[in-house]
Amino acid sequence: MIQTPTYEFYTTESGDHYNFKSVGKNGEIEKVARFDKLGRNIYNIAFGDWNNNKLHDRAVSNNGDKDKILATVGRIISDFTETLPEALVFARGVDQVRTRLYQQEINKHLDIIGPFFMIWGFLDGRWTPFKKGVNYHAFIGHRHAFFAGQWPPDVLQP
Amino acid sequence: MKKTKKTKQEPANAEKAREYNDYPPFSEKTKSDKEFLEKYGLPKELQEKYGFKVG
Repeated sequence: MIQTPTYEFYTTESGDHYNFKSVGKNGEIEKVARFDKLGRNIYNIAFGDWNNNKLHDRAVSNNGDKDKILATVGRIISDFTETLPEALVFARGVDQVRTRLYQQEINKHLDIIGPFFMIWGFLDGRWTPFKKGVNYHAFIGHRHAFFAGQWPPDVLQP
Repeated sequence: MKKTKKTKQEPANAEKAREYNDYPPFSEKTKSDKEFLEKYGLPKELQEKYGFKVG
């Protein structure tokens, strides 16, 4: 279990939209994480500020709570894949800085999440199991249940 | 540690949920991510063993 404090989050009935409020030096900022389906059991996580009915994934809120926000997103991914254990979640930052930030967060918690969550990193045109200290361009995560005989292909959703 | 709380469509949240659902299906970033996956594919183990594919 990740010990970094997290925000309370909420999900819509469809289960693919999550929201929470960041509270910090710049006040309250609404954050949204949504899982867009890109293929059979493949989801892209889009994350950013919710403003004027739009998700702003390039927003930099500087609210002084980066670790808490990232930990909350981690919990959201855990919640989503708990509901949908056969899901692959693809993640990539809007730029290299943001991607690096995601990588640092994975690095920080890898010993804790590694036993139940498999993470792949994309580098030099191919995917390999995530290793600490490597700068990747994108990530894919899924629950280890795939490889534990608990996931026969016939449970795949259309 | 403060525990997170998940609720399913609380009444106070219903209006907000509608806003999210009105949001266009894919943002430009998501379109770009889809193109990335279509170009580079998924980890071979996942593609070959389980038949995952984008699109």
